[in-house]
Amino acid sequence: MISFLSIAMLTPLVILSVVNGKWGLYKQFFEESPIGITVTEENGIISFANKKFAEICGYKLSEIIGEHFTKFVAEEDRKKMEDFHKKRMSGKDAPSEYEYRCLRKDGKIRYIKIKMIKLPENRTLACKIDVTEEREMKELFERIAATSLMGIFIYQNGHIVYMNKSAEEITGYSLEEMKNINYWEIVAEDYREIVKERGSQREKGMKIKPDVYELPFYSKNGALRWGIFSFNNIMYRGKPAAIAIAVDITEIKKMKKEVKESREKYRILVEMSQEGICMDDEDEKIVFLNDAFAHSLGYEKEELFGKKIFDFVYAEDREKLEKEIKKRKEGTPGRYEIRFVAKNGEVKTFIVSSTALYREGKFAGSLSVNLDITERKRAEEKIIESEALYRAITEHSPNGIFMIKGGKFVFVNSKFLQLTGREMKEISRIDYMDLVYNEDRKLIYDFVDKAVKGKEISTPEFRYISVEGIRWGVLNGSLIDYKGEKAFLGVLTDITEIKEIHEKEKRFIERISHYFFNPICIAKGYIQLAKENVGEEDIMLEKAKVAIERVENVVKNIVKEGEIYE
Amino acid sequence: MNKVLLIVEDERDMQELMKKYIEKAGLNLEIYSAYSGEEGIEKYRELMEKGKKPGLVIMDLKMPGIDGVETTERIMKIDKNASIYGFTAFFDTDWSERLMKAGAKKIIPRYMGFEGLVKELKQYFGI
Repeated sequence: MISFLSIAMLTPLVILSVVNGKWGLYKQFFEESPIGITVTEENGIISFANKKFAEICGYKLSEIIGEHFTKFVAEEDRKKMEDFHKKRMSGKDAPSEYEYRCLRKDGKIRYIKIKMIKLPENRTLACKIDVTEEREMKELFERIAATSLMGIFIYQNGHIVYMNKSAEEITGYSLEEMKNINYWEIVAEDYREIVKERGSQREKGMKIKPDVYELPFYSKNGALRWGIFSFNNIMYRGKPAAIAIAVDITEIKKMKKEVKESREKYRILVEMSQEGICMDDEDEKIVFLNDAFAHSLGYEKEELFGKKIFDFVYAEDREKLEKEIKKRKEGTPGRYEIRFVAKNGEVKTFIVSSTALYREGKFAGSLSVNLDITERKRAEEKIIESEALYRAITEHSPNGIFMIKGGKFVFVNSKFLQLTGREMKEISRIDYMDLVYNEDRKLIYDFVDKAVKGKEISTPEFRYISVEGIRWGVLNGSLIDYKGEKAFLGVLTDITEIKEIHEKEKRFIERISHYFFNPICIAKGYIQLAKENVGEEDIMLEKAKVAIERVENVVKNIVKEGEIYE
Repeated sequence: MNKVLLIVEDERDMQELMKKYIEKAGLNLEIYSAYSGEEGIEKYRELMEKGKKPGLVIMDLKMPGIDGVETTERIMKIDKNASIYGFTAFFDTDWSERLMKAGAKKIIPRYMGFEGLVKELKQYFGI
C-alpha cells in the first residue's frame, strides 16, 4: 500500500539530493516512483513532474512541465491551494498535508492526497497519491452503513470504534457512549467471557470460528435482546480490528417462541380435546387425528393413519359423506350427523363440523371436529320414550294434571280441560285462582304457599269452578324445576260424585235415625209404662219390648257402623 | 240452678213420654213444652222474663220450621249461659256436631231411651 510513510522516508533523500546537487542521481528513482511527485518553483510553475503524476492528470509530461500548478487543480480548490502556496513561499504556516481535487485533461476529477515538503530555494516538493477509489469505497461503505438495517460495529482494543445508525438503534447506545465501555459489557453475562476472548483474538488478526452466531445482549434500557452476529477481521486506520455485522432477531425470536408456544398450546388443546379432531387429505385418507377421535372408535391413532375415512363410515351413511366431501371441495363448510362403525362393531353417532383445507390454492382435504353423541342420542331416545309414556299416562289419567308457573297454567292435560269445561287457550290466559271457589281460595293459597316453601302439606278438599257449576276436588302437588324455574305440578281429583254419594248416604242414615229411632223410642217408652200399669209379670209386653229393642239395636248398628246386624 | 226444664220437641208423644218418665222418677222439675224451634225461643225468653230461666233445655234436631241448631244459636244469643242438651235420633252426624258448635253441651242419643234421658237429668240437676 502506498502511503505517506514512504514519502516521509523519501523526504530526507530528496532534500539531500537537491542540496548536494545530486538530483540527477535520484531523478530516475523519482521518475519511476508509484507516487505522483512534482517540484514547484516559487512562482507556482512546475519544474518537475514524474510519470505517475502525468498518469493521474492524464497529461503528457511535456504538457505539465513549465505549467502553473493550478492548471491541474479543480476550480473549487484553486484559490485555497494558491493561498497555501503564497503563505508557504512567504515563510508562513500552511497545511502540509490535505486532500484536493485534481482536474484531469479529460475534465474528470480525481481526489488527491498531498504532502508538501518545503525545499531550499523556495521550491516545493509535492507527493501525491490518488485516493479517488479509496474515497469512493469509503463513501460506498458509509452509504451502505448508513442505509443498512443491519448493525455494523468495528471494535479495536476492546472498544467499539465505529457504529452505524442501525447499530445505535439496536443497542440504544451512541458511539460516544460505547467508546467509554468495553463492548463485551453489554453482552449477556453467560456469553461475556467467550465474546471477550474471541474478540481479543480477532483484534489480533486471528481467524476465529464460528464467525456467525446468535448472542444475547442488553440494550441501554436494560432490555435483553438477541442478535445474530457475523464477525470478520479487518484493518482499521492501519491497525488490526474486527467488524461485526448484527441483525436484531429479538422480535423474530419472540415470535418464534410465541409460535412454538402457540403450536404447543394447540397441540395440547387438540390432544386434550374431548372432541375428536381429524384431518384427511384430498383422497380422504387420514393424515392427522387426536386420541379422542381414535379412542371413540376403539382404535389407537397409529391404526388409523393412512386409512380412508370411508372405511369407518356406517354403510348407510356413505352416500351422505360423499355429498359432504363434495361440498368441502366446493369450499363450503358443513355441520352434519354421521355414523361410524367402531372397532368392536358398535355403530356410533357423531356430530361433525368440517371445513376444507387448501394447499397452494388447491383443495388438500378436510379438517373435522367430531363429537361423539352416541350416548346423547340414546338418552334422547330414552327421553322420547319416557315422554311418550308420561304423555300417555297424563292423557289417560282419570285425574286433572296441571302445571302452574307465575300464577298461570303452563300445562294441563285433557282431563283437566274436561273437568273445568274449558279450552286450552282459555286456561292459559286465566289466573289459577279464577278456577277456585271464592270461599276456598285461602285454603288453596295456603296449600300452594306451603308447597312452594317445601313444607309438608295435607291435601285439601275444595270447590272449583267448572263451566257447568261448582264441583268438589282434592288437590295433590309439589314444587318442581321447570325450564330452570320453580313451578307447581298438581293433580286434581274430582270428588263431586263421591261427595254426592256420601251426602246421599248421610241423608239416608239421618232418615233412618229419624224415622226408626223416634217411633222405636216412643214404642219402648209406652211399653215400659204399660208394663208398669199391668204388672211386671206381663210376658207379652216383655216380648214386645225385647222385639223393639232388637230392631233398635239393628238400626243403631246401621247408623253407627253402616252394617246390618243385631 | 232453677229446676226448670224446657223441652223443645215437635212430636207430642215424645213430649208426653218425657214428662211421664221425669214425673215417675220424681225429679220434681218444672217442665215447659215447646213444639217448634220458634216456640222454644219465645218460651225461653218468656220464662227468663218471668224469672224462671230454664236450668236445662232438651232440644230436638229435626223439627218443622227452624231446626234444633238454629234454635240453639238463637237461645244462646238471648242467654249466653243457657244449658242445652240435644236429645236426638241424629247422633253421630254432622247435624249433631253443628248442634254442639251452636252451643249444646251434650247429645243424648235417642236409642238410650227415656230412662237414659232421666239418668242424664238426675246427673245434671244433682238429684
